[in-house]
Amino acid sequence: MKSNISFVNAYIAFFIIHTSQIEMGILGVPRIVFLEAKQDAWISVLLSGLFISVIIWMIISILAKYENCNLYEIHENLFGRFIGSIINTFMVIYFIAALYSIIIAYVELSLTWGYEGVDEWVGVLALLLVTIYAVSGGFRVIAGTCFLSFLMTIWLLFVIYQPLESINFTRILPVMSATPTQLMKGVFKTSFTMLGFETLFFIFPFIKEKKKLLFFSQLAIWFTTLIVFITTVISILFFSPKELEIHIWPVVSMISAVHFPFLERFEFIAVPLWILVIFPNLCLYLFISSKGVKQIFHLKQKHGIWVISIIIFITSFFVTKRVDNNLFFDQVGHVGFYLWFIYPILLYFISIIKSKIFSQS
Amino acid sequence: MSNTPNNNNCPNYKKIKYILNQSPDLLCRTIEVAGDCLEIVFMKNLIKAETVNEYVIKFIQQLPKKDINYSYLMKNIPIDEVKIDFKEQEIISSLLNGFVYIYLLKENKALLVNCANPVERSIEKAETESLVYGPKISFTESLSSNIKIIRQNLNNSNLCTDELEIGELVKKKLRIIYIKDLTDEDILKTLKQKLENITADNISDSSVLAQCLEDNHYSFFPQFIMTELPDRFLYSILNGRVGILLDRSPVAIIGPANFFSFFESTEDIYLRWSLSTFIRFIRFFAMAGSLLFTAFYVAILTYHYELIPSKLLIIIGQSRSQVPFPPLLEAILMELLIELLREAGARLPSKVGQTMGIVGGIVIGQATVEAGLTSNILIIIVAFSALGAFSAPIYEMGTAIRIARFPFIILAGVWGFNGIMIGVCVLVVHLLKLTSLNRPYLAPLYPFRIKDLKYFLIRLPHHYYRKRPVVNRPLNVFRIGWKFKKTENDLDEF
Repeated sequence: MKSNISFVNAYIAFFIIHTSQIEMGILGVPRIVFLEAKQDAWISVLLSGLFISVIIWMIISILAKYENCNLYEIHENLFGRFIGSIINTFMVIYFIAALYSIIIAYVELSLTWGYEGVDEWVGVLALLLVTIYAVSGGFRVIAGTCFLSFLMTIWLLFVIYQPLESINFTRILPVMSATPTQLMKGVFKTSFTMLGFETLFFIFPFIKEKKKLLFFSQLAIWFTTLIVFITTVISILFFSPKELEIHIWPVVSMISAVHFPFLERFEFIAVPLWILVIFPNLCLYLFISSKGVKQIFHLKQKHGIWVISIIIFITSFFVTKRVDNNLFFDQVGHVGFYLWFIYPILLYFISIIKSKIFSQS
Repeated sequence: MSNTPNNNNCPNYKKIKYILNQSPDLLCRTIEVAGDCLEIVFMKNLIKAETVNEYVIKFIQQLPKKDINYSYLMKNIPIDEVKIDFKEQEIISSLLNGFVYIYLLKENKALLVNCANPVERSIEKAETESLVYGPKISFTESLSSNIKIIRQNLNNSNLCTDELEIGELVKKKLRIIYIKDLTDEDILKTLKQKLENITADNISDSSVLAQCLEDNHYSFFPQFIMTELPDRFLYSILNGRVGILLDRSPVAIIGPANFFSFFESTEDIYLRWSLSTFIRFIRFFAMAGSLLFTAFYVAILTYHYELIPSKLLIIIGQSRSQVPFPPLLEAILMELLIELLREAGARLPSKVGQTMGIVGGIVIGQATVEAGLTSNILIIIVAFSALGAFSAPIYEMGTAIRIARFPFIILAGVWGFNGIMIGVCVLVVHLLKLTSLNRPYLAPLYPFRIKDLKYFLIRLPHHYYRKRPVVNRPLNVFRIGWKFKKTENDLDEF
């Protein structure tokens, strides 16, 4: 069935999962979590890391039961072709929406920082075309973009040493002043940013050494958690509470403090560089959603990516206001939370029960 | 008359003359010795006259009567290459390659002896790839002398030189050169498959052949290394690559190539490791700069002038104050101008070349600035990117970078840094998609092979090179046999 599949080494899973987690969310996450959990936001971040770590373990054990299957195939296997297809359709819609939300969030960001007055569809079109070009190269190219985009952007982490010079340590005190409810709300909000590990469900068949996968995916999510943790802590220390509440993208605002002897306003470099950060996400989501379309409608993936892109391009004309965007991102985040934080647990137990029933009969 | 199978296959002079369209070059010397008649047929300009006179005609004339027969001649003619079993078609092609056809009328048998006198130039210094250190010998147009050079430098019995013929109208010899037990079979198979699929009237040069063999024909980037240095050729062969030599072409093809191999020069091995690592980084930097600097200038001046510190901004502002064009147009104009200078410099006869260089570089550059058509800063940037593109050790890579620069400039003019980043994404994806002989183009970087980075990205002292780079999948990874001896003495011991 899968004779000409392209395999990648297990360590690539680290880059795929990590890059698919880091996207637009991280630019705004300190504020969102801060709104809920105040100066204890960092605890929420760590808790959500722990949460994901457990879910990753569950996902791997689900996948290990069905060797060389992605989630779509598992659904058909578990629930039958008809119900499975309905669930798969729902997933595809989620992925298209997620893809759309990343694109529109980036275009919004770039229009704010330096391109006032440029039409949105130009950016959407450019991003879509590049993504189509990448995805048409198959999984090997997508894995490569994840890897290279990681290498080309990880140095941005070191840029924040400059804001470090003007931080105020007292802002994080007192520790543990948030109530458990506030903390859990913080975890809930962080999870929007941490979404992306669900790609594991779909890249699984492509990985060569499946035993090492658990290690590398855990490494990836903890690395992401670390990065989110660092940015959150530094944002809390850097901004006063009032400031943090009004900056939609606190990380970008923080980067504005960075300047070199030959460069001022570093954020004008950082924002375009963010294309490289979101690029693997775009590729992965387009790949996964077109894979779903293939599974459901038996439409070839190379046609599927065009269909999906056209849908996204047309939709981009309708949702343009900041308020609409916010609502949309929130909705996608909510659905994503239930889909990838709650549903895998459900799926885990369903698969266990089903395998028990089968073994009895 | 004996009825050998060879019988009908031996045409006489008349028939050959007819097949060769009454060519005036075709000559026949008839010798009559003791009742037997011999025809010695050859193409006038293709043979070495002394050889024919001395070792064919004179030899036959001096033979005693009893020895003038086919079997004696075949065994005793004092010429190294003699063909005896052949078909009619082969006679003609051999004649055209400088063979002499000796036909015994009475016996109706014939033999071909090699008296070829190919046009050859002497072996000279390499022109397009110049080295400061190391051997400077270069390939020539003659396949046999190229093989000679390779054999002399690599006297190993496992060095294979498989011969193939390519071209329908003009048949050319081609040699696939590799080391058995070292080169991956898959690479060889892919290459031979690709060569078999080529049908052409005439492959005029090895660069044409390389273009036919490429996996992606629409790419800017060369997918095979083209070199005229035997030195580089052998280095690649020893690292498990495959080389192709085409007759009548002084440039050898090496594959599979990866992106980084275009930035390595054999000189890097000869120089000390620290220097060659440094030079290699300079090359990478020059390439990236050559690709992006002009685009940065356009993007910054069109969209993001806030990026520049105020002191620098004043300088740029002053130098641009009189320029009537938008930065995009200004940059494209200057880039085209410098490309024009380069092209004219390459075409001009060498005597006026320098003069034109001065006129182009100094006079035009100075004048455009003074006339207020462009800013000084841009001239510096454009000159830098032109220089940068030439720092690639392989000329074709420099060309690719020079062309790829223009889309970046346009993207920068249209969408600023975002445009450049979109361009970078396309470039990265494109490089990821490329393959050379089905091996990934971006090889030691992706798929990531950390041990190969010392070959392609940096250089280390030689004792680190115990194994061949794995990107070419060599069958035998062992390379250098001496061990690096660490001093075991402590500081206070001797």
